[in-house]
Order: sequence, then C-alpha cells, then structure tokens
Amino acid sequence: MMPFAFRDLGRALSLFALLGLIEPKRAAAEAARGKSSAILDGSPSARPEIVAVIAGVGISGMDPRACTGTLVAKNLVLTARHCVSYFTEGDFACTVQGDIDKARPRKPANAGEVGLPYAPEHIQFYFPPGPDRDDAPPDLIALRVFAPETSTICRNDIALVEVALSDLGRERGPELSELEIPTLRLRGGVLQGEEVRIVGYGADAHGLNQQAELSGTPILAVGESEYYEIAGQALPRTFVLGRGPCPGDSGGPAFSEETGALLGVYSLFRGRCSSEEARNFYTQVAPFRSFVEETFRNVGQTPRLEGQDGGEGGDTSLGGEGGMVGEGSRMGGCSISNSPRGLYGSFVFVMIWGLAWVFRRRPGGRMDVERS
Amino acid sequence: MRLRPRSRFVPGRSFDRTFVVASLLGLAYASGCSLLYDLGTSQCETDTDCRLKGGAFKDTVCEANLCVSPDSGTGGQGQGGEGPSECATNAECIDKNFGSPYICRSGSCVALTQTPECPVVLGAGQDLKNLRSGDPIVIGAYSYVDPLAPRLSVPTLNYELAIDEFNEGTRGGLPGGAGGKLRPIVAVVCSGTNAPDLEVSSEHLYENLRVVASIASLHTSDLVATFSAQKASRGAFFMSPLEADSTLTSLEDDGLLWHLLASGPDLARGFPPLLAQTERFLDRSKKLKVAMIEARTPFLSDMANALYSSLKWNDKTAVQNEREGLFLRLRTESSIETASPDTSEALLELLEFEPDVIVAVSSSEFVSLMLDYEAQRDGSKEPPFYLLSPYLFGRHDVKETVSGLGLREHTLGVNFAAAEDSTLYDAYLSRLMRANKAVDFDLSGSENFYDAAYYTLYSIAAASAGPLTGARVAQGMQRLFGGERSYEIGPSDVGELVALLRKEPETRVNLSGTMGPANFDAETGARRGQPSVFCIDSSGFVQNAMTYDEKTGQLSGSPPCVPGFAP
Repeated sequence: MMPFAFRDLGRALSLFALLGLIEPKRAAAEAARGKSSAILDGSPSARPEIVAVIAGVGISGMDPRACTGTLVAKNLVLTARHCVSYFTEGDFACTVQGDIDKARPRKPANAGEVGLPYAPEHIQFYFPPGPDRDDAPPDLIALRVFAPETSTICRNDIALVEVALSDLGRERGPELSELEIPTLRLRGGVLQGEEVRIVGYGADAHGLNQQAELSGTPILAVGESEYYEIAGQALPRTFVLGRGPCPGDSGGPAFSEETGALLGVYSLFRGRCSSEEARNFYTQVAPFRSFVEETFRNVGQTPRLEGQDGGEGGDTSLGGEGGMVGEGSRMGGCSISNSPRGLYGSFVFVMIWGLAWVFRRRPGGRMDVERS
Repeated sequence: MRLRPRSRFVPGRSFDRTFVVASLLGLAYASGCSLLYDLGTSQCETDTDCRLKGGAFKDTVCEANLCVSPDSGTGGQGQGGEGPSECATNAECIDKNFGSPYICRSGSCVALTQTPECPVVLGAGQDLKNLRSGDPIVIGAYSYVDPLAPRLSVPTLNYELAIDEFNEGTRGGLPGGAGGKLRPIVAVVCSGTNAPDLEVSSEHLYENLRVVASIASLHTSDLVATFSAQKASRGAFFMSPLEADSTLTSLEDDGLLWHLLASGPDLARGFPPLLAQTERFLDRSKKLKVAMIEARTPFLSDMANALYSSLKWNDKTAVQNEREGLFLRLRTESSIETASPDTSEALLELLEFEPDVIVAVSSSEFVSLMLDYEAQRDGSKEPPFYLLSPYLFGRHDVKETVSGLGLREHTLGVNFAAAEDSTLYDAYLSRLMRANKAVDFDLSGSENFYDAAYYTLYSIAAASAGPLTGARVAQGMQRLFGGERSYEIGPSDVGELVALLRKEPETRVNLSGTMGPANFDAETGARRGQPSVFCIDSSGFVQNAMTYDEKTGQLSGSPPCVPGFAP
C-alpha cells in the first residue's frame, strides 16, 4: 500500500502548505484593523488555572497549533477535542444533528473531519502568560488524552487531558493546591440569555499570546441535548455566543456569570470571528457528564460541581475530600417536549481558519503566531 | 485496446513487524452468544463440526470451541442477556453516546469504532440514518488509515463508494432484518498499514462486533495472522483486494479466503516471452547475461521461483545459463518486510557480473539499487535492459528514477492486465472522482479495492437463508461466477441482481467487475490473472503496452516507449 501512503502524505503536506499561504494575509488584515486580542474587546487577565495549549508539537510536516485549556482538577485540563487531535480546517457544513453535511461540497475533501488524538508527547501546556518563545519548555506535560468518539468537529468537540507538572512548571508555576479550580456545571444545561464570562489565549497584532477575558456575553442559542430538546438552534450539545472569541481561544472556557461554573469550551465559529455577525459555538460540558465523571475517576479525581463553593472535589487517590456532593444548583436545566425540529437544515462553516493559531519560528527564537 | 496508465496492483510498503498473533481471541466473547450446550469441553473446531451435529446445532457456529447461535454482524435487536438491558435499539445507544456510531446488541451498546485502530465507519448514512433506522449488517475492512484524515485513503474511498452504491441500489439495504427492517451494509475500517495493532483491531472486529465478512487489504503475514486468529472462533469471510501468493493459497481456509488479484506464477507467465523479445531486440553478438534480483517476500519469491524454471535465453534454460556463468540469481531484503532493506551485497555482485538484462522481481528497494548500480557501473558500456515486477508499477520514484537516468527506452515491466473492455472501469472511475471531487490525490488504478468491496457485498446478498455466517457468505461468493446470466459491478445492476440472488437461491451468475470477468479459482480463492507489459513514457506508466495471448503464450503489441521493440 505504499503508493497510497505517499500520496496521502503529499496531500497532508500540501494541505498545510495551503494553510501557510493563506494565514499571513489574514493575520495582516486582522492586525490592520487593530485587533489586539483574540477575545475581542476583552481585558487582559492572568488566571493561572487557564493554560495555553500548544499541540502538534514535533510532528513532522505540521505546524503546532495553539489553543486554550482549563485546569478542572490539579492534573486534568479541559479543552476542545480538535485542539488535541489531527483536524482539517476548510469549508464544510454541519447538519443540525451534528454530522458533516455530506450533500454539501467541502474543501479540502475532509474539511471538518477530526482525526486521531495526538500522542501525549505532542501536547504541551503553559501557565500565563503563555510560552515566551516557540521552543519554550512546557509547564505541564500531557500524560493521557480522553475524548468522546467523534470523526467530525460538528459534534463532541471536547477533551480532557491528564497532565503533570514539568520540572520547569514546578519551579515557576503556581502551587497547584492554591489554584482556583473552577466548578463544573454537570447537572444541568444552559439557558438562552444566560450571561457568561469567556477566557482565552490568542495573539495580539504582534503575534504574542496573551490571556484575555470578556464578561457579560449572553448565550444566543442552545443546541439539543438531554437538557434541551429543541433541535436546530445550534449544534447538538453546544451553545452559541456572538462576537468575542477568536482563533487561539479554541478550547477556552465559558463561565457562568452568576455561579462561576464552567459551562462549555470554545469549539468553532461561523462567519468571520471579528464581525458583529459572528456566531461562536461552545461545546457544553453537562451533556458529557458521564464522560467527564469517568475521566475524573480514571485520573483519581472528583469534579467540583456547580454550587460547591468550598474545597470539595479533589484527589480521591490521595484521600481527597468530597467530590460528587449533592446535585449542585440546576442552573439552566430545561426540558421542553414536543418541540419543533430542524429550524435549520445545516450550519455552514466557511473557512474555519483558526480554531487555533499556527506557530512559526523566526530568527531570534521569539515565539510568533499568525492567524490560521 | 486503449492504453491508459492504471494499476490494480498495490505494492507493499515498509513497516515494522509488530503484529503478535492473537491466540486468545477466541476466548473473550462466548458469553455474548446464546449457549446451546455447554459441557465445558471442546464441541467444535469449525462451523462444519457444529453443523454435522445436526438438530438444534444445525444453524450454529463454532465460537471458542462451542457451538453457539450466531448473532453475527448485526445490530438493532436488544434482546437476551441477563439483568436489565442497556438498550433496545441502536438509536438509544447512539443518543446515549453523544451521537457516535453505536449498535445495540443483546441489550448492550457496542461502539463501532475503536480509537486509534478502527476509527472510520462507512455506509452509516447522513446522521447515522442506516444505524438508527435499519438493522445493519456490520462488516470489517482493513485499509490505510491516516491519523490526520482517517477516511481519506484510496482503498477506503473505494470501499465507501461501493457500499454507498449498494445501499442505495437496494433502497436502504438487504431485506430480512428484525421487525421487517432493511439491512444496510455498514463497514468499520481499521488500520492495516504502518505497524498496525492487528491484535486489537481483529479483536474489535471479530469478537466485539462479530463481523462475518471483511475486505482485508493486508500484507501476507498480517493477513494470515488475522485470518487464522479468528478462524476458529468466528470463521469470517475474507476478501483480499490484493495479490495471492503460495502462503495464502495453501492456507487451510475452508473456502473463506478470497483474493482479487492473481498469484505470482500466474503473472510470471509474462516474463519468458518478454525476455525472449528483449533478447531479439538487443541483438547482441555475444551471449546474453541475465541477472534476476528477488526480494524476499512471498509473492515475489513465488514469481522468482516460477521464472527460474521458465525463463530461457541463449537457447538455454536458466539452470544451463547459470552453469555457463550467464545467469545470476540474487536475493535482497524487501522493503515490504524490512524498514531499511540491505541491497549492498547485490550491488557488488551486479557490478561484477555486468548483466545485459536485469529482471527485477523486486519491491521498492530496487529503486536505490538501480540508482547505485547506474552510478557505479562501467559507463562506457551500454546500460542493461530492465524488466520490472508489478510491485514497481505506478510508483512515482520508479518513474522519476528511470526517466532521470534516461532509461525509459531500456525499461519494461510486467503487471496485471487491465480489462479488455474499459467501459465499466471508465464509468466507475468517473463516479469515484465525482464522489470525491475535492480529493487531491490520484484515484485511478485502484479498482481492485472497489471490486473487492462489491464481491463482498454481493456474497452477503447471495448467502443462503439463516443466520449470517462466514461460511454462508463464502458460499454466496461461489454463486457470483461460473453462471450463465451476466451482471456487472456498479450501481445499475444492484437492485436486479440482489433480487435474483435472494429469489433463486440456487442460481449462479457471472459477475464482471471493473477488472474484467470473475474468473476466480474456487480451489485457491485467487483470481486467474493475465499478465501484460507496461512501459514508462514522459507522462508516466503505460499499462497494457503489450498484451499476453493465453493460447500461444506470446506477447503482442508495440510498447510506445521502446521504439522497435515489437515482436
């Protein structure tokens, strides 16, 4: 099967070459408009539990991608599946049920398809302010990747990565025991109109990462899930925000303004992320409760649930406190039956450049990022 | 006869040999079946043993040495089992697992995919419609799986086209599903190259999913190991899109293992007339010196052995020429079996021997050997004439090397002959390209994968009534050739042929593929293949540059890349 292997390698390389050709133009255009942060109009922040994710490191023929993740336990980072997997960007459409719309043309041929998760050695994490150069050693190293099955970004774009402090991270990073591990909304959905605070690492016009956050962003639409039975408003198990997050914020969290609980991770956007019409899709955490809880068990932890303000949750393997305590407050729990379906035939995602950023090496070793 | 570059032959690639035979596979899943008779001892070795018991065992299959009722390769019926059922329908399982492809079997949800070994599902339809509403027949498939884009490979796209056409042609699947549902074909694709973990993938396919039929694009040793590991417990039907070799055709396979491509000796028939014509073409005043380089891999060794006894030049056999110092047989490691094959000794011997003709019964390691030889041989002398194996057909590096060395007029090769009538092939290629417009790699010359998928699907359709087993599928395969009525692979005949096969269970047909008529050897499971000669011109490989006459054993035609070569 040799010829096919070579052909496919060629295809993969040409794909990345294509991305390389397009990225700088977009970066320049964004810079010219004075966009200074990936979270548009956001304010600088430096929450240590929110980490920069650099994935695809050391894979031949590929540029690493940058995303955002959140420490939801001292050894577990929550992010988007596409951030820690092979993934092909491009033109594609998703059906309301969360599949690639096979009836619509795609470019490239596998646009929107998620490949296999990266091996852990190809994924690195950094505390704020993020990596200071493109070959910066990581603060946290990946040990295992957990993700629900999917072959497309149209569904289940969520992943948990077991991590451990590197020597460097131990030296310069925060005390993990002092981190404000966020609570998770695992027992209820989200509501349209609910306001969230979003955080992400992106890049400014000069190509430097910075963490930024934006408060008071309302949820515009909610996708179908066990908590919300109306289909067609958004992709299944997602919710939609307006202008705010941009490439590089992928995998970044959205927190409830009211309770501070983590509600979802940034997955993909429709339109141009910088436009007022942009629609940004976040994968909800709650519908993946069984996956999340199982993963926590696998790494010897218990999740902190929304409504738990104390020090519950922790390291079960080390005899930590609490964990699955109570139901939490059922924020946004919603159950509507006999609902209309199929308000939209499909969601079209055109040129999903940059669910991540692409690192490029430049003389002097400075980390430089450009919009992908 | 039209000339067009195409290969239906897929040479092997280098990869690590990490596969360990899954000797314990058979033990794992007996509990999932309905146990008829458990004495705790071996009841059977094969399905035949069970059938011979008669009575209640008539429709059972042998799993882990026990005769059990098969519930094979299906989903959708969530019954049986003890304790509370997790599911009653596939749709429940899909919804419980975030829209992922699952089936409900015996009250339990079973994932179709297994990451990273088996990440692709074909035939499930938009939004998994065929899984949700049908009673699917799940089959296995081995292919090249790229971690970046698991679905995008030439074999997989061919499987996908065939399965989609078949499901559409049957208007949603074969009849006879539970509750009157249709039975669409759904394939789970596993990685078969680049040091695949075949132990895991075969356990997933044959034990977890209990598939009874597979399209298995695997190298010989992997195919043997995978087939053998599941044979006793599952007894699945295997259709290899690739070549047959003596290791495969001599395997005790109970008629379950079939091959789309011919055997080495079958193909080797093209070399003797080609060498004879080469001798006439070169018209040397001195006696001709021939070197044959054999890469150690089963198919090529079969071919080399056949050539050793059939090649003639200088009016003498190879053995006679060898005695006179006019023949040199060299063996090298193969790139199929070894990551970095060593050809250094062969190079030294070639440089010393200075052959007039090099018969390269080789895989891709020959490219570097050829480059080295041409760089180091006595440049004042004529270059040798190269006769290449099918493993070197269609390779970009071979084309570049031959062209770069200015040896296009000194190079010919033998490959599987294309179908004489290309109508079916042309129509198929057009559909394949239309279905994959945005694919930026060459899809031509891969029809063996498409035909293999279709023969597998029709074999399932032609299986006799009763629970679907590998043995029944293999019997179905026997109904696809040697009949009187002719049908063609492709979407247009699906509805009619499936109806016929179901309505008339004794009827045999003659199912032609894009590669030509279905001339299978029922004894070996291999296709009877015709050789043809290829050459390389400025645009690439020219297949069928000369054709082989079965009756006379001679070649005819004039290869356009080697002026004056015609007989």
